[in-house]
Amino acid sequence: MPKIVPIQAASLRIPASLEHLPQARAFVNSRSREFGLPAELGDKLDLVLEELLVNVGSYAYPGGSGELEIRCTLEGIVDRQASFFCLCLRDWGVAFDPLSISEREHHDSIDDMEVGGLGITLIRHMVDECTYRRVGDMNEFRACFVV
Amino acid sequence: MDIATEKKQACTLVSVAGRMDALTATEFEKACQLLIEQGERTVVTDFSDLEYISSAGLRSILASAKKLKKAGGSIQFCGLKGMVEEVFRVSGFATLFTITDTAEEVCPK
Repeated sequence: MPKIVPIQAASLRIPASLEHLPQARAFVNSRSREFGLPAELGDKLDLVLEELLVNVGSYAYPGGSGELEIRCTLEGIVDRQASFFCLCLRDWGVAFDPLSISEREHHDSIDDMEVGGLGITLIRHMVDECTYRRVGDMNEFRACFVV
Repeated sequence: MDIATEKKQACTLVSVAGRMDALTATEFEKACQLLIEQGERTVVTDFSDLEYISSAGLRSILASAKKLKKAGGSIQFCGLKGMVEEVFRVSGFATLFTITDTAEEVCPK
């Protein structure tokens, strides 16, 4: 396990709803520029953020409302000439591990294709590392990209 | 996201530009629904100017494809590039649908 050292961090707390996606996107894009990340990472970050936010907004607080925290960190990996940019989403809703959803199977017919699970399939593909944990009443999903 | 439709002899060409995300994806589904109601059955979707697509976009595409198939029609795609092409490949949509480089290949006139 490589030793990780924090370099920069910033966080935003917003209501967990889809209408706040533009605000969340602007926050992450700004941090991405501030932390000097390559522009090519932009679409991947946008996609992972959207999939995670939609997930929390749709399922974390059924029949009610709650908060979502988005935390961006730049972490150095000691002994490696690389760093991690990590997007960490926290909510205080229903316990749910997106990684418990298995990889989607590819189908030859649109009749067999189902809509569920597409988001986590895309997240898994776009990130270099992702983890979920439940801490007390909080869900935390970390999606990291090697920079 | 901007959607333009053009009635051709062999198909209806739907050109989509911008970002197909959780905030905009239903517009594509509505556009397809309208075409089905108008009697269109062969839809070719040009994604040359589509910069971004998420799973919400894929869901709209799948829902539209299912409705078209039920009505006896079909949907094809062309002009996929960059992250849009990657998302189609990773999700399995690239093997599920007919995809060509240009609209002219499947719908010349």
